[in-house]
Amino acid sequence: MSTPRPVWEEKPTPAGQAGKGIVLFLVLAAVLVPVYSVVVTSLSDQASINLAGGMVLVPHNLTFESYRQIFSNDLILHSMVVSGMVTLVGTALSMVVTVLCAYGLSRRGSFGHRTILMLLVVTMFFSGGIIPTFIVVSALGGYDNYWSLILPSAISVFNIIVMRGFFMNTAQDLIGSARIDGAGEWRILWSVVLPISRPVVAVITLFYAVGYWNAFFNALLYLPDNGKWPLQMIVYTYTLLGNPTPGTGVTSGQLAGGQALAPLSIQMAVVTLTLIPILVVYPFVQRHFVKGMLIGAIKG
Amino acid sequence: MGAVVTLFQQMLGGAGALNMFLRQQGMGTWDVMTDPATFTYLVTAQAVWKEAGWGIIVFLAAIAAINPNLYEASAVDGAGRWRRTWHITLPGMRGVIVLMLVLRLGNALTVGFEQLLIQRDKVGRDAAEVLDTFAFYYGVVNNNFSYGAAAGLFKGILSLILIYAANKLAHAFGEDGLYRK
Repeated sequence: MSTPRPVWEEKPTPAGQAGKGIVLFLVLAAVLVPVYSVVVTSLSDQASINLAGGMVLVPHNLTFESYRQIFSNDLILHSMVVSGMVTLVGTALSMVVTVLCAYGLSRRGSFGHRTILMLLVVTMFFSGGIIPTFIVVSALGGYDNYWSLILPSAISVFNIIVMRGFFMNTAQDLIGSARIDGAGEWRILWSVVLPISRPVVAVITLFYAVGYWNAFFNALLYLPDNGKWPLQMIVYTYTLLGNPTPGTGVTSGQLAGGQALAPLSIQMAVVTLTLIPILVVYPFVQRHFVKGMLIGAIKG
Repeated sequence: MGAVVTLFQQMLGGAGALNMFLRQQGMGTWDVMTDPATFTYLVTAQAVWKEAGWGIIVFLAAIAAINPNLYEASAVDGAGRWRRTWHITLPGMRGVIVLMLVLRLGNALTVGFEQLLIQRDKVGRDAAEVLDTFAFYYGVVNNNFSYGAAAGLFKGILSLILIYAANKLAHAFGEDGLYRK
């Protein structure tokens, strides 16, 4: 870290330094090697995959052929559009609802806030299970409808509570002075509370976005037609197609013109595509992590 | 979770890096991904691999919140690295550890539902069936709604009992847990 070592702290021993280095290296390798291998395999041609006997670790004859095939496959292209739209629309909707709900619940004395909070918390720890949810969503018209990818998971109570904790721990006097200056609730939320809550807003936006991007179970449950599937559902189907087990009753769609087993490099290319957006966004939000979560979740 | 399972498949599966190595060394292969005997360890390893980063951030935040003067004072009193870890760092993050434990226990019965759903067919039902996958296959896939709903409700009640017990435990440690005593 940037702070200098305080005088009272012992000098590190060489053995201790070496041990620390080895452990950190092993952890790093355990995280990076699989990801690296997937990316390299997605860029390899069939010959080098056969040569390696499966996963490619040493790059050799790299080609973008599998990505070219993916981007000319209507089903996969459409699934990427679906995933992107669900992530954008879903995250926007979730954030609006979460911010409003958390702000309302963070104001002491707002109408019924204790009761509402209790009702929310109960859903966090008790649920009727998959079937009642399925029946409710289907009865409301969610079956075979894109909205079933967003609305059932639009609110995370955990996120509301984290954000409420953050709102409660900051800026009570700022809010007071804004009120004296004549600002209404909307103005206070927009011009005072949200600007100073940047860390928690960033972290929770990321949580929602990653959640929507990674979700496939809602698609499995509500979307019988593979023309509406998101990208993660395509990955899931690939996993199934790679290891077909008859008689499971799970709908497995046909990919790439009905071939039973897609070549490994195409599978890996699809997996890489699911990883890229998350890897791109994380570094920008990471600096907010400690602050956003510390104040919201731990002290709240 | 689909990506995580695929990554593990590529490293440890029948055509993965581990078995490539074993074959090159002339040893017998071991397809970790489809071995029912070790499936519980596999699921745990996947969850750790996926969630460790998040846990590290939360615990790092807890450690960063500890007053550094405490370390200095105990160092002056002659406490070494390990004693400072034991007597200052760990008590300082106790509240966060207990809170994380309570939250985890409440989710314990979900046991990474998607993770098991994806892998259930490969290792077989005997090794990988949990209440949620049972409710899904029995209830939704086989159209046996009332039976599946009962299984789901059963799971919900068990989770509630676990949460309650975890909170008792938190109170025993002198922490708040989810709600105050």
